[in-house]
Amino acid sequence: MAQNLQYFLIPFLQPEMMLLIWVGVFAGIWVGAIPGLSVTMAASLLISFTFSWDINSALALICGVFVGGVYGGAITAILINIPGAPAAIATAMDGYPLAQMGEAGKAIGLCTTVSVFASFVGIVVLAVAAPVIANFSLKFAPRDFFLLAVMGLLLIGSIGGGDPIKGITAGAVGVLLSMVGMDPSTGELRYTFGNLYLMAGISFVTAMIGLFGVSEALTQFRSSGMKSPKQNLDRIIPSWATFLKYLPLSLRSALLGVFIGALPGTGGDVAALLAYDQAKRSTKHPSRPFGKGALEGIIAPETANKGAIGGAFIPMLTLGIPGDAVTAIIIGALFIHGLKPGPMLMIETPHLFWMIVSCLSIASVALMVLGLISVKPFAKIIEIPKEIVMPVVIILSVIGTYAIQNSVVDIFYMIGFGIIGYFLRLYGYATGPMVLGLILGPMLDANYRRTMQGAENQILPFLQGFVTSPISLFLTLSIVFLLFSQTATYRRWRGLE
Amino acid sequence: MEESKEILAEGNAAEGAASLKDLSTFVPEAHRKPGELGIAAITFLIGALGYYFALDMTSGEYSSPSVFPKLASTVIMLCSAVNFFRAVKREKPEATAPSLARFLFPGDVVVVLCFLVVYCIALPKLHFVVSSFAFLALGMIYLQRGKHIVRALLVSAASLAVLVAVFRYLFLVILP
Amino acid sequence: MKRSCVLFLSVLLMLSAASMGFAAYPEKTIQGYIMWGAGGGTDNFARAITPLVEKHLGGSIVLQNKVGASGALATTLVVNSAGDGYSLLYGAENPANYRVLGLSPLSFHDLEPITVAVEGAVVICVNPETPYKTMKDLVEAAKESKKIRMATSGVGGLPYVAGAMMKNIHGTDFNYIQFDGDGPGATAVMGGHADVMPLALSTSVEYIRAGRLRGLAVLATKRVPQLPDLPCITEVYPEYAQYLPWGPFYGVFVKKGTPADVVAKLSDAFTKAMAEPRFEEYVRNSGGFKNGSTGAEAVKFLEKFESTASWLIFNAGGAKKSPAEFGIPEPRK
Repeated sequence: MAQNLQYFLIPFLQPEMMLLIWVGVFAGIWVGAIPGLSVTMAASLLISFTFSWDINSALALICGVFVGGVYGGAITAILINIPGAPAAIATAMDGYPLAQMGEAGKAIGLCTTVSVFASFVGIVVLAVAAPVIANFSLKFAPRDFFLLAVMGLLLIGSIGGGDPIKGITAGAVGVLLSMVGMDPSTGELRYTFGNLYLMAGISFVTAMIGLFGVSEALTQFRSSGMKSPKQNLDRIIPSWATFLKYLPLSLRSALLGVFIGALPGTGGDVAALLAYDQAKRSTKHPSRPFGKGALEGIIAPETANKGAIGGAFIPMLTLGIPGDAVTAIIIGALFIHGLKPGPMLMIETPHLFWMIVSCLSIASVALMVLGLISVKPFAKIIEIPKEIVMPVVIILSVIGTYAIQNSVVDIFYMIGFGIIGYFLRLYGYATGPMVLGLILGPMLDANYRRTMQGAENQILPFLQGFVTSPISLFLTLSIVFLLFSQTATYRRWRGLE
Repeated sequence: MEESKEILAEGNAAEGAASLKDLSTFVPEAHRKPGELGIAAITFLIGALGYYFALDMTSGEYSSPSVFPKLASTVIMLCSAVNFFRAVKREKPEATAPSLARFLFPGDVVVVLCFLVVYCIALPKLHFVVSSFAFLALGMIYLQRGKHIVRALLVSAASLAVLVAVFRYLFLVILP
Repeated sequence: MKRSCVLFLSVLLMLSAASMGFAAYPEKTIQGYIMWGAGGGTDNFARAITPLVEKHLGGSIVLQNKVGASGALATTLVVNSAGDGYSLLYGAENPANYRVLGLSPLSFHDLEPITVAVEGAVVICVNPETPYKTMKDLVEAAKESKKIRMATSGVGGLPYVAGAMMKNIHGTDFNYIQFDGDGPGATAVMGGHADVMPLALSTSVEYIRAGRLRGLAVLATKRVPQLPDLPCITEVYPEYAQYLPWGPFYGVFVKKGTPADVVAKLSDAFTKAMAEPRFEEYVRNSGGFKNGSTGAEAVKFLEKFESTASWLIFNAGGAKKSPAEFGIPEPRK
């Protein structure tokens, strides 16, 4: 124990590491906020950049960028309706309406506070229960990932923009678009028509930037005499009463986030979407209706994606299995720095675990300070007249899209999605479900097929799996319950209507 | 945006100022919008094409690559049909409603869209900086109706300089 | 309007001035296209070696991941580049199979190897809770039933080819389940969602050491230093020798027809980088072996790999086209 404490204190005793964590968080906030720049990208650049450094310093910087970056995604989501990262999609649903009402400062302030709280929840779970959760997460079969994706799709009901059938239409189009490209399991080409760029598939980040950002900009141009909302910046830091009021929701969503983050291959994006959905279903009296600026609609996804940071480190540090894309890169960094990430990592280099826990904690404190300092300047941005901001938003979308994989074709896709999104919005089709379909489509397809292959293409053994495995049974029942909870009977009984 | 405002307005009428209507409660409008039938037909066509091209893919087993494309296409076709008939059942667009072209492309939208299309065409031929600067400056000047030209140019140059600095020199993205 | 022109030109000038330099090759930034995503084996290799190469080359290489179509996207980009040595492809073994899998008309014949830097070995791994203690157990059980679930990374990937080898030699058939790559497949085997997977040593070595996976045999003609207790396959089944040596590799390539002096300069820089202790340590830790061949030697290596892999895939029924169509010789028995 004393030994662990000593490891925990490593970054505190090295001013250089301290500084790097703060720098990392600051840079991360910007990386996260700029659409197209992702933490994954920043982390892989940092590997080359920190090549000649000591591994501790390199990790300190990467941890800082990770924490800052996940937070930064929410800022652009709230301010200009372009989620800086997929994990902030759900945040845009309620954050942007709040900003339009002049409450951007309040939204970002609340987001910062609960983010720091959730980040600590993730860190505590990582420190206390990592091995248990890691072993449990291995038990998740392809069937269970399929069920999680189905749960994610249920969110279409919440973000469908009013008409469920139109929401499902948009969602299904998203799933269909996600099929474009080379099928990763058989190598078969689907909807590629011999085009190499279609073979590479349609990146959902590209679609997200177009469907959220450019379509919003175009929609704004419909109404002439555009006035930017005057921002109320009096009360940025939420009161204790507010914080306590939302504590149960924050804790619940953060824990959900830790768990989803700990599952290999699913990260903050899926966690945030599921958390938004559960918040919407379980909140009796939201501060405002969901989709129109409910504070709950910001708290749930933001706590979930921050919890997922600690979660993603769980399988990485205990088993050497990446919990998400960023931890996959950290594993690579460890290799390059001469370490052997794997199940023996905690035994052979025990200091690493506690040092990362400590770096993440310091990063969370830094996030609190840096986040709250930057609320006002950020909120001021949207007071700039729209005729100046909107062209810049479009160019930012263009350059961000290009940066994802240095592809001009992606820019065309992005603008195409922007125009499609504009038309869809005009007729009451929300764009959220389409992005959801694009994100979850491959997860649905691949895991369904794996399950089917495991059942040797027989329907009966395939269906049996859903009731014989305890995890699958639990998830199946949850989905049935979620569907039932949509019905009028249930809502009347619970007094939700 | 417009859509949600309308829903909000109806909700207000029904329940007073503090509207508790959330977006999952669908409030159908009495009149359909111009072109609403068209978009339902287009989505149906997307579904049909999706299914048609999925026929060429490997099939035969429950785990074949064609299963999900077919499923998604079928869902699109079914939902589009529902959307179509719902729209048909509603009354014709109001007499005061704008024509289809006016509804889709009011004033500024068509100009900005034209800028965007020209920008896309110009981008691979000219350097990123050139075409983006032109887009930014022209866009701002147009939207401000020809006022503050110098400010528009300065803001365009400054914001582009920041973007290029961040992306090219910090993130080592080689711009087109 | 005048002012706009001035502003606009000055911005342009400033930027072009910043990116200009004066020297022989490399006189501008070299672009390195990585054919697989961030955090993967190819990506790790590229990011481990590039800083060392930059030092010896005296120029900077900007790395970018160009993921898509099993690396065919990055390959196409490099083949369509100017062929002046400013576009490097950091790739794995995949281009050898593009033609038979019908993914792309390109292959290693359209590329010039700078170096085949690192080789790996493949280990047949099973979940430790399965009853298969040795390679013989697995083969016998597989002959009896078709129920054994083998995780692969998709048709044409390494595990698939290893499965094809087993099919050719023993006539075994597995129930293939495709995962998104070696890593997710290994995770699935550890979780018991598949029984067996032939895995690259780099992915599996730590799991085997920790007892999370059980290694049955390494597909090589001699044992590997990382796992000295693990028998090599030819100790158990000598008939595998016809396909060996075979395994994953990472290399760096340019477009065919790049000037010879540029290729020589690049090969030289990579060779020096590979000799650095830092890189050797990375190779050892990540479960690989340094190959380091360049020039004609590298070309021969690539041709041998292509022949083995494409005929195995074809004989296992996973190919869209016969390797004979492209004049790929059958491996000698």
